[in-house]
Amino acid sequence: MIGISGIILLVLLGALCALDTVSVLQGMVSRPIVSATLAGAALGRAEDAVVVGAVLELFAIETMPFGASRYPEWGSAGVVAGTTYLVGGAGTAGSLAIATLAGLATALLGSLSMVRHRQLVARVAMILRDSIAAGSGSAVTRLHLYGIVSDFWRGAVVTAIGLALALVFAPRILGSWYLAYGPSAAWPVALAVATAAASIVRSAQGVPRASLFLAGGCAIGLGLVFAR
Amino acid sequence: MITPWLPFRTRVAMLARLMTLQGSYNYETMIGNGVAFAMEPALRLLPGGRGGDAYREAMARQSRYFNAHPYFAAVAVGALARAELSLEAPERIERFRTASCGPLGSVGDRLVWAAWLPLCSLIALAAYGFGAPALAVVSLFLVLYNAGHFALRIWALNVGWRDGLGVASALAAPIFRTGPAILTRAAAFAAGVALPMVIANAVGVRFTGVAVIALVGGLGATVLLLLNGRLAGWRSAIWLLAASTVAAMVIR
Repeated sequence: MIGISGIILLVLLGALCALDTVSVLQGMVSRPIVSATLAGAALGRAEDAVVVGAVLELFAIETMPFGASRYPEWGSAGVVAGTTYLVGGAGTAGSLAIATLAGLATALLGSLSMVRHRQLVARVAMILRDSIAAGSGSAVTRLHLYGIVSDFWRGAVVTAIGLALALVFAPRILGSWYLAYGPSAAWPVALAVATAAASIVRSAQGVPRASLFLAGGCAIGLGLVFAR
Repeated sequence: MITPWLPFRTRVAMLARLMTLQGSYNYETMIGNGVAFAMEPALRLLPGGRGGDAYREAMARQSRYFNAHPYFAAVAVGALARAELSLEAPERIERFRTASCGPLGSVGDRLVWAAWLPLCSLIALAAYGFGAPALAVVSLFLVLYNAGHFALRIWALNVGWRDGLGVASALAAPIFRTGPAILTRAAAFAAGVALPMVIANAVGVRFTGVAVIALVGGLGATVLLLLNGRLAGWRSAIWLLAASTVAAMVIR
């Protein structure tokens, strides 16, 4: 069970990670392998949370933050997924599937909220248009700070919604989960591998000999698993 | 034309502001407001200082529509700051702004988003697959990625300032032409190594289990490739996982 201070910490973490997605730094703290692990670290179990972080990272390889395109927001998603995985009892049947689902759903919500946020910033820019067109440095700064602060709150709200739904529904769903651990864990990983592999093959197709590097890497990777 | 000088503190202030370049990103002016915000410390050096006519005219010009890769936009910020402080003709500055959007966007997208980021991500995933501790995986990813990230931002601002409106030649450097292909090959290799290891570590299975999951994943990848981008893997996974969750709760 996570206390109120823990939830506040996670919402704050989600908001900061969400801020990193576009508005501040873009140092990739928002990538799910980082944000999910940080959520786990905040709850004292980073080693468990990195599992769902790695699975979501495979999905995230498909979605890079290209310009004005719509892409998922993985910062808050990773925090929600990491928390869900721990709340569901990391390593129990269904916990990885539910945490992955919670992460992907939060990423979708984050994506939709980013579009709304950009429209909101455009509206404020319209209000400040005359001052900005007149070369007011303070109007430029005001718009910029407004964008950053509102993006922080956007991330906080998305994380809070994701956490609320996950904390309420994950234990109930897992309480009536009948599928064995093996297929329950294998299914989200297979979906993530499919997504990442398609993305990698697509980018390798455009570069001479990249497919050979991919095949060589696969042979080594499978060899290492076999040798274990 | 005046040869301008940029104090170190101003340069650091611009670099710090560049870290929030997309803070006011919107669908009307894109990162235009962010460019003006990042350049503002330099524009204070214009004749008349902050609030002077030259300052206001430059701020008005620089806050208009602009779009580029957020890291490579620092090239434009440096070049435009130099042009403004050199009191270049506004028409030349406008032309440069318009002309630089495309190249600064495409070079950055190909080098950073399509190559450097996936490579760092896959190296971190390989480290996870090899059983590295969680915080080591995260540290490896952040240090590796941001070494390139910060180096690129600092280089971009400096080269933009150094070359001014003639900065286009810097973007023709061989690394920007061959770099993406080299990084993509490295990412493909890292992906090959990482995927089986991640499967083994995340699910806790040995070779046969990895082979089965990889086969299912391979089939899924083939479907996504045949659909040629019409279906996003992460979005379809939401529905597939939701459906399997219902099934796992109902089927005993």
